[in-house]
Amino acid sequence: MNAARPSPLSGLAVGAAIWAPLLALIFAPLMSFLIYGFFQVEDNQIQRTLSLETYREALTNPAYMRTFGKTVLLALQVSLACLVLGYATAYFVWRRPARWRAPLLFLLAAPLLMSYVIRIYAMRGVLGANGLLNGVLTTLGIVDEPVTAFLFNLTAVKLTLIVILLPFATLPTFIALERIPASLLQASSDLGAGAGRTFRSVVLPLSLPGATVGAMFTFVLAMGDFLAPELVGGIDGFTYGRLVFTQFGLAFNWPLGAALSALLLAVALCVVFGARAIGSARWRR
Amino acid sequence: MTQSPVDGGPLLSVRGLAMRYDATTALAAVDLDVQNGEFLTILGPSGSGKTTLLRLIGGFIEPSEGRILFDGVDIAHTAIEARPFNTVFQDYALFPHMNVAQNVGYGLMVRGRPKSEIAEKVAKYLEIVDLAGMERRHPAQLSGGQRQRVALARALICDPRLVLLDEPLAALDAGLRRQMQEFLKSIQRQTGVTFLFVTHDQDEAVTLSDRICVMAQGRVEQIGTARDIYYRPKSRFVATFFGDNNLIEGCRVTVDGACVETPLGVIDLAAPTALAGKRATLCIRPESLSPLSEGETADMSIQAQVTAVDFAGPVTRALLETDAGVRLSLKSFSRPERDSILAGARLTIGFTASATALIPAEAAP
Ligand SMILES: Nc1ncnc2c1ncn2[C@@H]1O[C@H](COP(=O)(O)OP(=O)(O)OP(=O)(O)O)[C@@H](O)[C@H]1O
Ligand SMILES: [Mg+2]
Repeated sequence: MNAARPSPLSGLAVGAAIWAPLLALIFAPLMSFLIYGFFQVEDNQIQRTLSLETYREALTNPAYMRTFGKTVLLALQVSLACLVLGYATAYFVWRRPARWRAPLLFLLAAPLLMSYVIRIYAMRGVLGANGLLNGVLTTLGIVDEPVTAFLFNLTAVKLTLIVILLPFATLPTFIALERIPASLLQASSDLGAGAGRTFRSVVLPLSLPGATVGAMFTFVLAMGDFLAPELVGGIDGFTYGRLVFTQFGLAFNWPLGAALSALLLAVALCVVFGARAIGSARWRR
Repeated sequence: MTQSPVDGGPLLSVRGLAMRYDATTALAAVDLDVQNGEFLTILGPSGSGKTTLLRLIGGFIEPSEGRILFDGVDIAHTAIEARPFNTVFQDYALFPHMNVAQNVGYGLMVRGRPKSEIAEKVAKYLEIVDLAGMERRHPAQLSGGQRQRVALARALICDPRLVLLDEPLAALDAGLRRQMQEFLKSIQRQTGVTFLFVTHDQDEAVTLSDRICVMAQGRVEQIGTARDIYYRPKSRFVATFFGDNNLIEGCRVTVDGACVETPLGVIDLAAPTALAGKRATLCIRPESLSPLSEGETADMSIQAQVTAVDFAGPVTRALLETDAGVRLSLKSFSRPERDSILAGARLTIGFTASATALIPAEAAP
């Protein structure tokens, strides 16, 4: 064996030394959390005896499942809207002259620098009876008096999540668009394609994987979110995230909360693997 | 492909074409005629405006001034997709998400041709570029030379009147490059399509072209066959751009333009010159000078002293100084036996008047 080359064994040791603490940091809390799901609560006391009872309850109770289904639908709608709006926004920015792109992107990403809670309150301001939306509608004479239906229901949750999560869909799409070499677009026109054909046959197929991954990200975030439904959702906007949250707060049932959120974790993992599959399309080698 | 340009006229005429960016003039008033079916190479140093000219013709950018006449119509501002030209890009620009067949068939698909016709033509053109059987591969699974050929097939399948190639071989290593040169040339002959090819490699230009257009600083210096460019330079730039050349300063053409007075003697001019009555510089290639043995004669013969000799295998180079103090370099085939060219020896050298060329004298500094 060549003395200069480190042996595979020592390479493994170095790798383990680097990765083991990292993995421990990430997985230890997660594992301990999942283990909570094997405990139960009796008389407001956590019983530390292992059983599958709490998981069974979490995964079979029809009320929980209904909330889960409703939340999946909500997250699907939100992520679909983010996909379309995010794509349109990213495409718009991409088509601007190069010197405009960075400032526009910064504007789009700026809300991310604000506190999440503040952004939700900002949306409350927009959607409320005296809010921006009603102001515009009454000024234009589209409605006679302020509409209260924009706030404290499921629609308000959707609108809020869409606005808040949009940057997460826009940025990956923009990156995907930026990575398309200009020569491909030129080659397409050179071969006789008009703008529409070039978009359908070159731009869209090359940027859709990135856009989809972004939308999947918004799906996961929308699934687990509890703050937006809590603050703008009212009774109608009761989501799975809020269900989990109440177990840790009001109900003080940590084992059930842990068991319920295991399902969220599973969904997130599925989405991650789905995104991986999209990212490794055959033609990328 | 069935149409032909107006009775032997050029396929494409560029007139006064100029391209200016804020401070730089990338192209300054270029005139160029491209003949139908020829392999025309644009040759010039880096930054001379070759790519700019090609992109203007292709329609990727719009000129600041000038016209591009195709079939008598000015297309300088026509959209790219409406021009019957196709481009082979330097980085190939193959669509990574499409396989070879889809890439090659793209131009036909865009034109809405039936699937069966597309498949048939794709097979035919893949045959031409020697890639039959590679239909299902993706560009990422091809070598550089194969990608190049896919790009060529993709351009040719649209039956373009003109194929534009911007240094398509620059990314290939020397061996593959030579192979692809031959390949390009044979495809061009086989299909009869007009090629407009950009390179900054002189050997490549000479090997491939019917005609060469030499550019420098955004201007066309000269257009002609490789032989013209080599032996009949019209400017100092062209005279020194290709290989070695002897430039003999301080000449004057007689008023009638019949002969030129040079430090080497008076030379009768074979062809008329535009420089009648003007100061000029005489150009003669080192290999056009030949040592004369006793009794041999030539149009011109001069006495010179050999100051240095450099045996370089097939050729021997020598530096000479004439009695009038003119320095010349001479190149001749080496011979196995003792050469007559020896450092310090006196030599009679001869050359023919037709091997010389006149360019305008350098403006007085
Ligand atoms: N978009 C642009 N903006 C400003 N200047 C430009 C632009 N494109 C080209 N130029 C300038 O125009 C001149 C000609 O450029 P061009 O690309 O045509 O050269 P070239 O002959 O193709 O050179 P090379 O052999 O290096 O490819 C250069 O001085 C270049 O800097
Ligand atoms: Mg160039």
